[in-house]
Amino acid sequence: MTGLTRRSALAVAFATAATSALPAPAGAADRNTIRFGLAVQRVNSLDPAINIQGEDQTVTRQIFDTLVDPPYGTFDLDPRGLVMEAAESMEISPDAKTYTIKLREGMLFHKGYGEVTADDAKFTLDRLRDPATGSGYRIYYEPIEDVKLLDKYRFQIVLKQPDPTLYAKALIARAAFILPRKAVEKLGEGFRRAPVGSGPFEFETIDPNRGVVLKAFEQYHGGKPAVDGVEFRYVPDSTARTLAFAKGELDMIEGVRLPGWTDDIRRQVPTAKIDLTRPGSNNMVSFNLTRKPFDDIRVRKAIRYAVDRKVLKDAYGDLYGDVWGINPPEYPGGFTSADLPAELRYDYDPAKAKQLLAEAGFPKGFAFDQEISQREDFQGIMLLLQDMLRQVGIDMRLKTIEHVRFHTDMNHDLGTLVLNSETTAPVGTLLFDSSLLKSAAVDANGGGRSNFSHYGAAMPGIDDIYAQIMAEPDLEKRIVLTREAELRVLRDMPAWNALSLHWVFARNPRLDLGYEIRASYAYFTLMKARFAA
Amino acid sequence: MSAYIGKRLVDAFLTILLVLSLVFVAMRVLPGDPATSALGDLATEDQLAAFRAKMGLDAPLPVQYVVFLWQMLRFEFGRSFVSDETTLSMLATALPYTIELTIAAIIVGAMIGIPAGVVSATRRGRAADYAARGLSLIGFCIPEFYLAALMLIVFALKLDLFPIMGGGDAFPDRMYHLVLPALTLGLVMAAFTCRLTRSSMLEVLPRAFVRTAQAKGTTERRVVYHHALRNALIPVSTGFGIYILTMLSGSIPIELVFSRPGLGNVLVNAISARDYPVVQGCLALFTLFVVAVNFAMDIVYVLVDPRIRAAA
Repeated sequence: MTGLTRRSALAVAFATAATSALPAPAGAADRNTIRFGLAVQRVNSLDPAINIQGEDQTVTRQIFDTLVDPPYGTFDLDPRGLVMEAAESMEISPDAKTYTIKLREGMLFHKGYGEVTADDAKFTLDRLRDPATGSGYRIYYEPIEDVKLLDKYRFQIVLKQPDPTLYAKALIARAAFILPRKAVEKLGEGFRRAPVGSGPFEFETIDPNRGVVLKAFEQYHGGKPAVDGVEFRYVPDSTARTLAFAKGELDMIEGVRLPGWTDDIRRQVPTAKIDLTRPGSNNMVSFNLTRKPFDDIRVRKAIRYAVDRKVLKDAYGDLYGDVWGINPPEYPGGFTSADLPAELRYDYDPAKAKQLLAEAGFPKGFAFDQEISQREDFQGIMLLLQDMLRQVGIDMRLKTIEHVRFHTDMNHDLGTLVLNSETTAPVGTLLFDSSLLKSAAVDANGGGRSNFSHYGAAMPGIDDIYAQIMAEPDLEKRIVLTREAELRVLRDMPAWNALSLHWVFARNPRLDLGYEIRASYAYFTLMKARFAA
Repeated sequence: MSAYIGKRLVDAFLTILLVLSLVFVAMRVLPGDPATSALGDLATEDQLAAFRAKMGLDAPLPVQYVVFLWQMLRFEFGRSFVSDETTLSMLATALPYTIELTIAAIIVGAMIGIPAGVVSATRRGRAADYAARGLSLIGFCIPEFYLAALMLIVFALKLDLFPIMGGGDAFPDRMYHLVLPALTLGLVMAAFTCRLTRSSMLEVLPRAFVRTAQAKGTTERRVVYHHALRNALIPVSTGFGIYILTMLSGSIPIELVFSRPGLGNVLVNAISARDYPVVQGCLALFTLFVVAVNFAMDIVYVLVDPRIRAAA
């Protein structure tokens, strides 16, 4: 054994000095800026008309004002209880074909772009409708025939046909954030990377390290936010995100929608607040009716009886939401268990599943192939379904592929039992639009939308009821018709909504959002957020 | 010598051309529509068609290929389909983070791996040798992303010595953020370097010139480090060159786990979004780097080894 040499003593001294000179990471207690960990490698577009991923919307929600919104933290879309954000008032005509909106007076855009006027609102809505904009949300604005300016603060939206739910699809915080005409015209494509809004936080910079940096807008019409700003940091790796949250480097993080995640985070950070946005994503499972044996209703029903909701519920815990019809119970008119006749509840009954399979000519079950996306929520659900189907003799051979390729293959009609995740506003017809109408049926050329079952094309569907719904101006009558369509789907069983999977966030208990999150899209406003002492 | 360099330059050019062509084909063969990725699932067929026309994706593939090669020759990588940023600016922002990680990891790998290899060879069959070999075996076996997670848990979370994420802002902060990623990547490299140095030293130590040096009464330290190691480093430097190339791909999971805004992060995001210009730009840069390192290694061999110089 050798003693301490002069060289090793110098090395130790140097290492000690170097370590002590290192800057210490700032903890939440030292700052008044929210650090929000996003599960992405970068934001892609901060133009709300051209948001490309959900996390883009998490950021744009803070920069822009929407016209109206449900009460914060809810999806309560009763028009009488809406939060008026940029709008001061909204009137819907009795025939549900005209929406008259008055903006608040004196609202200012960031960076000296002047007052928010009805002309900016018209510009925003016209831009969303214009095919040249390339907005993915254009589908929600197609029912608009014209946007008329009434005066400096008032404008009118005229629809092609009655729609008492337009505000819930097109005027809440999704895409209808008011943009300054002057800024968009001046900045052109650059607006995506340097947005100007009138919301509680103004855009400061996009920094490779700090992510998107926003600062509180001093002249916000609702009062300057209590925090100095928000930094949306890019932390795509879920382990790093969780550890950074546990260490206090991040105040809020996007969670991981996998069984057991909330338990893990509570174990690591017992004081963490868990925010769940219900209903979250709808997980539609579609039988391809053009493929055998799924053209046989007995096989489809057998599979339904083989699926045990309790297994899904136990696996996902807090993240799980029951769905009995097509729409989750949180949607207006959504079915609960008690609303449905026993034969349409499809309660778990493996014996009945086996009996139906035997009647269909598969006493020993059968096997089929299906691709699944590598995305964590797709993996979790399909693996659980695979296991449940195995119990009744059905071998679902899964092949995991990359998410974009999965969507491409499914859109080219390569699916058999297809899982698709979709988040919509709580309007009962939106899942019909995307997944159950004849016009949405996928084809081998990549046409259609997300009707992977070919319902309405391979067999009569709900297109006739849907036409009635679209012609109906009365909201309550629409809901009755929507429920009728749902019952038909449950009887025909071309697809089912296996569960709603809530979006989940972990939050530093010191960070108070100013309201409780019960329902929402996967993003919400931070305008009322503050750090407790 | 100049003929040798000229031949190597032609080889390098052809390699770049071949790799870029493969990248072009691979991106087009890969399932997934860049228009859908950029505009989202709600986009209509008209919108998708307009996007493809705007980005030149509706042109016949040979035309796209020629345009692509012409752009590459002029170092025009185009704009991201997704964010509309210029690819060049995205690469310029990300590249320094990857370069500093690679250089720091090489330094860590060399500083740990070479001395460990020497000790292991000079104390063959003793405890130090077994320890060095055992540790290098572990270094080979352990996946980089797993080691990265362990580093984060121990040094960042439990001991609270280092930050968990990001690349840092000013120079001291950047170096501070670099420690754990560089250590992770460097330790894996150290395992490789240790084994390489050990085997090379074991070949050199019995040679006559080493025995001569010992017979002349030269100190053991001087014999090992001045005579033996200098000769043993020739194959080690070759291995280093190869390893630097693999380290580029190794840095991708490290950048992801440590949330560093480097090229790996940019590339992974671009591939999943089918963002052709960014993928092509990233891979062109990687290719240039690999070819440049290979070229440099060829030149170094010529300078170091007189036999190759004579053949050249």
